[in-house]
Amino acid sequence: MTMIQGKWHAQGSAAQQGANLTAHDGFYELEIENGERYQGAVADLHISDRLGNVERKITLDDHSIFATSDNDAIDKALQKPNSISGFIHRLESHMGWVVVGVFVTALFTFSFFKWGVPWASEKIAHALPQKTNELIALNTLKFLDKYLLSESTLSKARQKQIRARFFDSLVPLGSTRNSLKYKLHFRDWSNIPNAFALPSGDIILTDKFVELSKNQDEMDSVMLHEIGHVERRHSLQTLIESTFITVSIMLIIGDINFVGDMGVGLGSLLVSTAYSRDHETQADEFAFKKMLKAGIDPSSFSNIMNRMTKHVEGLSDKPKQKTDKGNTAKPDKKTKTKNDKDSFWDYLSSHPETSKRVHLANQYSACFKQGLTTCQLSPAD
Amino acid sequence: MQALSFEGKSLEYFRIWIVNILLTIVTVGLYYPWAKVRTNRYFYANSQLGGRNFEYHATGKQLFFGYLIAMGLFVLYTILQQISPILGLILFAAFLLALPWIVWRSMIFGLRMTSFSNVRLGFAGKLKPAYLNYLVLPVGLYILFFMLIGIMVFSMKYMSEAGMPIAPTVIVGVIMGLTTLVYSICALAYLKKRNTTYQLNGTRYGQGIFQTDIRVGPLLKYAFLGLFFGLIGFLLFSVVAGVIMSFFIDLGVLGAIGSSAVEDPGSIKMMLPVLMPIIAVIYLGLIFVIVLAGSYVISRQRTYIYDNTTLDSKISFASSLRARSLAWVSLTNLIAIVLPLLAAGVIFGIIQAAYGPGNVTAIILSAVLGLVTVFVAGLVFCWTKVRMARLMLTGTHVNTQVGFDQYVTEKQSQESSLGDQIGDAFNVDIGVGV
Repeated sequence: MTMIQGKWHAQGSAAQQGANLTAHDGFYELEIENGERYQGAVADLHISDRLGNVERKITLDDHSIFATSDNDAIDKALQKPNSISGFIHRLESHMGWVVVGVFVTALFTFSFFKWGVPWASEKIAHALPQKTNELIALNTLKFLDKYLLSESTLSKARQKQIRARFFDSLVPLGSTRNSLKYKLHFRDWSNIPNAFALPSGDIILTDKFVELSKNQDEMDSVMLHEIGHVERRHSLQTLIESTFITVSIMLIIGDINFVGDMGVGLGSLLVSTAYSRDHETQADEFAFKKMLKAGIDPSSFSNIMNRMTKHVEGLSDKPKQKTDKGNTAKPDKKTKTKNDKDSFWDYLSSHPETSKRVHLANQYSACFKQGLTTCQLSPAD
Repeated sequence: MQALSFEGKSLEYFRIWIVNILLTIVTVGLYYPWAKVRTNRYFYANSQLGGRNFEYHATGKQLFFGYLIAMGLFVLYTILQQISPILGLILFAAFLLALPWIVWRSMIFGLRMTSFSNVRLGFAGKLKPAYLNYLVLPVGLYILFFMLIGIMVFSMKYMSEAGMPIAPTVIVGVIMGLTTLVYSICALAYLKKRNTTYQLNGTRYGQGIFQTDIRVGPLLKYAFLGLFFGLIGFLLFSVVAGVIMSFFIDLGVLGAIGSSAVEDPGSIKMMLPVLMPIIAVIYLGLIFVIVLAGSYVISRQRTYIYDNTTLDSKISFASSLRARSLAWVSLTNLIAIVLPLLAAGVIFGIIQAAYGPGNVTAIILSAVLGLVTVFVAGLVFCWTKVRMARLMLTGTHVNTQVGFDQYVTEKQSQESSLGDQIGDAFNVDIGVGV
C-alpha cells in the first residue's frame, strides 16, 4: 500500500489543498488537508490517460479532482491493465517501440505513396462516369486557344487526311469504350512540336509536330500514346492523386510552420512528378502494344521522339512556354549528363528521360521484328 | 510577478509525436483527432504557473465529427479548385464569408476546452463584431490598398504617355509607393488592435473577465520602427553581400547576363548556375532581415499589450520576451529544420550519382537515408516546438499576489467542435498569444 501525494480541488474551483491518496484491494481513501475524507471503490474513479510525465487528474464522484505528478504510483495502484491509453503510453515510453514506430511510419508512408495512391486513384478514376472527364476538360481548350495556341496553318487536305487515319484506324484500334467521343484538333504553337490529350477525348496536334513527323507511322505512334492517356484516364488520375497528396500531407504535418511548407512543396512536387512519369510510361506501353497489333514498328516512336528532342534542344535559347494542362508527348529537353547516368534533376521532371522511352520502344521493336504481336519484357532489362 | 514555465521535454514530445503520426497513418487519418488531443494536452499541461497548470479537455470523440465534416469540405475544396480556377475563386470567397464564423467558433471551443488550475476559460465575444473585425474591415482596407496601387500605376502611366520627363514621373511613383507602404502598416496595426481587443476582452477565466485597453498609436510606433530597422538591415546586408560577392563573381559577367536577357529572355535559363547563388543569398538575407525586424515588432507589441491587460483589474500581466531572444530562437529553429533536410537531399543526390537509380545498393541506402531523415528531422522539429513554447512562456509574467483561489468554473453548455476543426483543416491561424 503506497501513499500518493497530490492536490485536491473542489468541483470547478481554482483553490487547491494538499491531499494524500491510498489504495488497496480495489478501494481507495483520500485524505485532504482540511480533514475531509473520501472513500470508495477504485472502479468509480475517472483517471485521465497517462501522457509523458504530465500531471494526472483523478475525478471523484462529486466532480472534485485529485491531481498528482506521481504517475508511476498511479499506474501501479489504480490503473486498469490493458486499456487502450495504456497501450499508447507503452508505445511512447519504450524507445524500441519508437524506433519501430519510425520504421513502420516510413515504410507505410513510402508504400502508400508508391503503390497505394496510384492504385486507388486508378480505381477511382475508372469508377467515375465519363461525364467527370468532360467536366474537368470543359474550358481547357478554350483557355489554351485564348492564351497559347493559334489557328493551324496546315492545309485542309492534310488535316483531312490525318483525321481520316485517326478515326478510321487508330480510334477503333485504341478505344475500348463507345461512350467516348474522340476529337482531333490542329493548332499552331509557335514552333513547338507537341501533341497532347484532354480527358474529354480531345487530342491536339501542333503544326510543328506534324511537320517533324516523317511518315504516317511516327504520327500514329504519338496519337496512340495520346489515346492511351485518354483511355487510362490519366488526367482524372492526376487530379485524384494530387488530392491525395495534399490531404495526406496536411494530416501528417498538421500545424507545421512556413519552413515546413517549403519542404512539403518540394516533397509533393517530387511525388506528383513521379506519378506523371509513370503515366507517360503507361501511355508509351499502351501505344507500343497497339502498334504491334496493327503491324507498326514501335521504333517509329523512338525516331519521332529523338527528332523532337533534337528540335527542342535547338530551340533552347529561345523563350518557351509550357502548359501543365493535359498529358503531353513532348520529349524532355534536358542535356544528358556525360556518363549517361541519371542526374538528380530527373526526379523533378514530369516526363521520363527520352533515352529511357527510346530504350523501351526498341525493346518492343525487337519483338516486332520477330513478327510477334505481343511482347514479354524481362523487367531487369 | 511570477513567470510561467514550460516543463515539456523534446525527447518526451518526440515520442508522443511519432506515435501520433504512426497511428494517424495506419488508421488512414481517423486517429488524427485523438493525436491532436494528445499534443494539446501535452503542451497545455506542461505550461505551469506556481504549481498550477493548464489543461486541454477536449476528447478525440468530441473532435471526431467536426473533423470528418471539415475533412470532407477540405477534400471537396481541393478537388473543385483543381477542376476550375473560377470555381476555386468562388470557393475562396465562400471561405472568406465563413471565416469570421470559424474564428468565433474556434475561440469559443478552444477556450472552453482549456482550464487553468481546474477553472475553465471561456469566450463571450459575439458573432457580429467578429464579422466586422475579420471580414468587413480587412476587405475594406484591402480595397483601399488596391485603389492606392491603381492610382499609382495609372498616374505613372498617364505621365509617361503625356511625354513628361522621367524624373517627375519617378518622383510621383516613389511618393505614391511610400504612401501605400505607410498606409499598409497603419492598416495592419489598426487590424491588430481590433482583433486583440476583440479576443482578449471576450476571454473569461471562470467568473473573471479579461480587460484590455490598447491604442493604435504604440502598436503603430513599433511597426514603423520595425519597418525602418528592416529597411536599414536589408540595405546593410545588400552592401556587405555585394562587396563579398564581387570578389567571386565578375561584374562584367553580370552585365553581360543583363544585356543578353534584354535581347533574349530565354537565355536567362542558361545563366542559372551563375544567378542561382545570387538569388539564394538575396533570399536568405531577406528571411534573415524579416525574422529580425519581425521579432522586434512582435516582442514590443506583446509587451505593450500585456502591460495593458488585466484580469478583473486585479491580476496584471507582463511580457519579458526580448526581440533578440525571439529572433535567435526563430532563426536557429529555421536553420535546424532546414539543415537535416538539405543534408538528406545532398546525400540522396550523391547516392544516385554514385550508383544510378535502378541499383539495389542505391535503393537500400536511400531507404536507410529516408529512415534516418525521418528520425532526425522529427526530433529536430519537436525540439524547435518545445524550445519556442519555453521561450514564449518564460517570457510571460503574471502578478499572483491576489491569487486564483476565488475563481470557479462558470456553467457552460456543450459546444460543437465543427468551427474549430474547419479552422484546423484550412490552417486558419487564430493566434491567441500566451
